[in-house]
Amino acid sequence: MIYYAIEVMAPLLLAGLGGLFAELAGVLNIALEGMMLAGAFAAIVSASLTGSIAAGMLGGLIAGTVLAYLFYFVGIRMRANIFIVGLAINLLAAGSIPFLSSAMYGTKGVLRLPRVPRMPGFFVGIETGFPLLDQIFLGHSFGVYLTVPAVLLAGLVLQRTPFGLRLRSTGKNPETLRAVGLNPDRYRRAALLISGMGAGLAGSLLALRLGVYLPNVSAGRGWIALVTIYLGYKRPFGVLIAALCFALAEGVSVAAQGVLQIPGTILLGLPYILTVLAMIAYSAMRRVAPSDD
Amino acid sequence: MKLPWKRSGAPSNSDGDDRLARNVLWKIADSPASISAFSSIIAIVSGLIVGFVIMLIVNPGDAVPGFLTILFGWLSEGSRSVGDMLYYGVPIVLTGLSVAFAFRTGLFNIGATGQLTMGAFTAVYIGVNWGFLGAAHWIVAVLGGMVAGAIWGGIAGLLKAFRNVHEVVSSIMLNYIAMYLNTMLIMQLIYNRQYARAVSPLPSALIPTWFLRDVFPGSSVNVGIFIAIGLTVLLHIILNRTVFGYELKSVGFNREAAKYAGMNAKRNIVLSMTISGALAGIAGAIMFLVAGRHLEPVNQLMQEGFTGIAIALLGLSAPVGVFLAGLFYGALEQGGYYLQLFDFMPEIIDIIIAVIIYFSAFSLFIQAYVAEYLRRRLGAEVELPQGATIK
Repeated sequence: MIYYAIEVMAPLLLAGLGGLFAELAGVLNIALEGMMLAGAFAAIVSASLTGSIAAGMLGGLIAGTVLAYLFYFVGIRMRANIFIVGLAINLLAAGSIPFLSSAMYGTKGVLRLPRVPRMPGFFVGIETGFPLLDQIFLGHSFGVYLTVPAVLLAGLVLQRTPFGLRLRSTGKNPETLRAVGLNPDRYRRAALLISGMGAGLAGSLLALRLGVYLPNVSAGRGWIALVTIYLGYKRPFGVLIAALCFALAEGVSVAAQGVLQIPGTILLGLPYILTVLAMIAYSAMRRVAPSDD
Repeated sequence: MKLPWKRSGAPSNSDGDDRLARNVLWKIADSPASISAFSSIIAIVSGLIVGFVIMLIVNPGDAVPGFLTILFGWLSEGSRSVGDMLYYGVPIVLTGLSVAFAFRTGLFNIGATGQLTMGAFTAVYIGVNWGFLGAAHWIVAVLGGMVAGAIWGGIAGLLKAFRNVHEVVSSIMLNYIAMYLNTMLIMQLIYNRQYARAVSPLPSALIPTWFLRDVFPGSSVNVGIFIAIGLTVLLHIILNRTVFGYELKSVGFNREAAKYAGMNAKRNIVLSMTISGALAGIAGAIMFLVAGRHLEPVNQLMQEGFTGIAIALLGLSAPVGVFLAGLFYGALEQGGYYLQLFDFMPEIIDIIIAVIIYFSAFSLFIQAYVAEYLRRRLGAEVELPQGATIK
């Protein structure tokens, strides 16, 4: 169960970290879901074309980034309402993937393509003598080990570099950025592209772990990734903890469904309820007078 | 701002054609509403063009008849297909009105989906269990759906007004909470194990068809269309002819100014989200109090709420515009149904809708473009529709 939870956590965390960049730059990226879906589809297609996992992940990354650029172009450059743009991108991904799938491979259902390699596992077969540690750290697929440098890198970039500082100021007060002669739009673009990369990569992990593309494989994980940003108090390590909590909840609910015959939906709905509560607490703690956006 | 079609020098107005064109342009420039309508048309046309191009790529032979089917399929079987067009359009008109109403008051109701879900469950629950109500059964069921939607929308309004939680974020969460709650409640309370779906509502709870059955024989259209018309008129009056509507719009336009003028901004935000939620709740009730349509315990968001956002944009957030845009959607949906006759997938409709939303997202930008064009062409200032700016 814990092993499963860690596997579930990886894509969630990557998408959440990417979304965190966008959120801190003041652009709420509600298109994470669509970007993940596109990433998953592109990953399977490019893995099948090249026979390589690395190319599959690259494909997913590129798909997410392309959608992020579409988001940037209309939402930031053209000053359109970012929520509507995000929604349109989600719909575009949900509508065009079955379409592409049936145009290219003749099916809009499960896409099982030849030459898609198995995701390699690392540290398989090693035992430390502590089953719990084994489950947490050993034998996972490549994507899980990718999350460790990702969290560290995100924390480092956001907190310790001029780029991170400027990106955060873009979200807090773009005027300060303009005052020192910088263009906030460039930081918004960078943040959006990073979130597209994160979500695309997350989607590729979802699909490559299974080795097939399932319709709607992201199953709301893009939205949960948004949840982890708020639950994690907009910090990389917070996102890690939040993603882990959600992954454990999913692991428990999957296990409980098999054993107890109770609907796992109660647990699945929990993160969303927690998010609303966390946001109420957050606004209470900041003690700011309610104001306009 | 640089315009690609900017001309050097004033256009000559010596020949008659040009004078006619100028007259038409003056007519457009005269009213901000027509500039807005123009941008909606651009969005729709762009969506349709993209759909047509995709169809040309996939299946060039059938592209033209297929495309005509999307556009005019709703006329193909006479009164039956027209009736079905209305049937598909009604829930979308209502979710569109829901989103549009919130828009007019400065709120973005992305939570119509959750409100619709809660409304649908409550309506079906009443429809299954409260058979003792007799003739009033369906009315109570619809009202129940309305109240459930209103509560769900009101929660987001309360959070926005008193806790400053952005309504988009809280509504997204509330959508998912509604989705899981719906699944859980169906399983616990009204589960039909044999078919793995909710129990069918009693016949007395189904939305009646009255004389519509005879006017549109064979179609699924019901009294919901009259509810949609009535609410469209009601909202039009509220927004344009009442003090209450004026206050709601003022708060949406400028919260601080409205407060300064002595309006209760918080109360208006809560009320606006509550009314918006109520409309989505009615949509949910009307969607599922129909024979042959069942709530299912699947963890999937209902797309109608999101489509409502597109319809609200296309309808320029004006009730009458939303009504027309919703029927347009019903026609597309009905056309997509006939599309299967050809070798096309109905998903093309989804892509067309997505492109329309994408373009309507920058409708304000297009409006500014159009106004700028008119200004150059006519050499006069043109009043911009509300909210349109050139950056």
